[in-house]
Amino acid sequence: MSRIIVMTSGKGGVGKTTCTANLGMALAKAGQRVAVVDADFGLRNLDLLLGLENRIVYTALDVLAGECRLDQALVKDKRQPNLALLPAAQNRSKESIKPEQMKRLIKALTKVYNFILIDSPAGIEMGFRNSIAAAREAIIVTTPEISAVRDADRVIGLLEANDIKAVRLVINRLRPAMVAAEQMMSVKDVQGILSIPLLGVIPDDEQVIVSTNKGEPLVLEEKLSKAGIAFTNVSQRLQGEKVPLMDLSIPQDSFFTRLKRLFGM
Amino acid sequence: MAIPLISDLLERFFGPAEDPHSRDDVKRRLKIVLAHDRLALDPQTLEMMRQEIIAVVSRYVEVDFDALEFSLATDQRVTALTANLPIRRIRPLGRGADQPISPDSEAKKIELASQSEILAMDAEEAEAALRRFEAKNNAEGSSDGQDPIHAPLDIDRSGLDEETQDDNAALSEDDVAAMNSEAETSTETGESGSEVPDMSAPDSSVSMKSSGNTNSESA
Repeated sequence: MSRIIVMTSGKGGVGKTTCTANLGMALAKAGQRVAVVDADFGLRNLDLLLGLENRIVYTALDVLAGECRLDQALVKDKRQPNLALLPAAQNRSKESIKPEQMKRLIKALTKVYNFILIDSPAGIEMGFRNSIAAAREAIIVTTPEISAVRDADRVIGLLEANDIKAVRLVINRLRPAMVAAEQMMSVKDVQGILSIPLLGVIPDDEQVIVSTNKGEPLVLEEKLSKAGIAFTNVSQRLQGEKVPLMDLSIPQDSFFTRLKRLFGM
Repeated sequence: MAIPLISDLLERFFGPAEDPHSRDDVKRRLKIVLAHDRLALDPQTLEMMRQEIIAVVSRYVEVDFDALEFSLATDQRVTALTANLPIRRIRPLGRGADQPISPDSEAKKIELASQSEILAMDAEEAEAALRRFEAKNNAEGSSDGQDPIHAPLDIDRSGLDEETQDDNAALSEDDVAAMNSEAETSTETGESGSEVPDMSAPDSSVSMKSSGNTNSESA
């Protein structure tokens, strides 16, 4: 039985696509057959984060229009052959596809792939409804900010109303130093407010931008960055392994670092 | 390079002066906004509900209008309407029904106040409590020789119903009708919606959220 998981958040810019690219790649690395589906018609970006933008020939819409077969539209990743991308059409709107059509596409993918990650667009309109139509599980991506948490809560309610019961939380862009200074909600705060099981915490990491610049997901690095380790951990938990949360506590300032700061070094 | 001020130096060494913790602010604000989001009740309906609750309670007890508090709170994805109605005194027997209460004028005196004892009940519990209270009152009122334990449970509510009508007259009839129909539609969508997810109607899924929540959580 394939796992069909929608990655969603309500608010835009919290890291849905980054999470989808990294989770998909990490699962593929672990030997799973993974299809990542870009459901953001008109504003696709998953191809960029995976570095596959130059290899798109057909899109999901071409498959539905009967202009190509599904396997022709799928872009197989050369670095990681277990991973394939089903691109969204960039020149069309989110209304150009219906939930029923999305279900048909995903159902066809389940014959080959055992993990299907659907990258949902921001918002709760048509694009969101398309992306949850076939999903059996959901990963809510949020940041420890008031607007992201509020939107996440709304989306959790909509998922429940649409009978998606397995909903889990990824808290992205956590800044441990700010939490320690009581200037940011902690993991416990966010999870307590949203009251859904926690799947993982990704620390804020400059390497995320570097990796998107290159089109290489963090989890492909030789020496994993903090965010890369966190994404790998999330993928392991998703496969049922018990992995403890990363230690994100910050080391106390030593006398020496304070002294350095004193002299502006 | 300018020589930094001593306070600046101290700040660099010891870290910035203690800010008030914005983490507490964000948590407080989120909890309030989520309680309202999850309930999906518009402010007008909430206000009408508040006035009617006050009107009903005021028939039986004298409420301290200065310390009245209505709030929505959520915990573990359950939303509760919390009404905090401090009671000054119980109204003398038999006087409750023949003292007309104007919710409008009394509501004007109401302000949101701070913590004290919290009284939370859902509609059914409130109704049950109301019946118990009525039964007790009637039993005491007619206790001349009658066994209070066997007080009549079949209460004559005709007087009360008239009173309710009077109260409603204070609101415009359209308002009441609108409110009634709103209440009905929301329960209907809730019941049908939780079984058959309808992806085509955006509005129904929105209202399904709050009712879906309440259903699943009360289970």
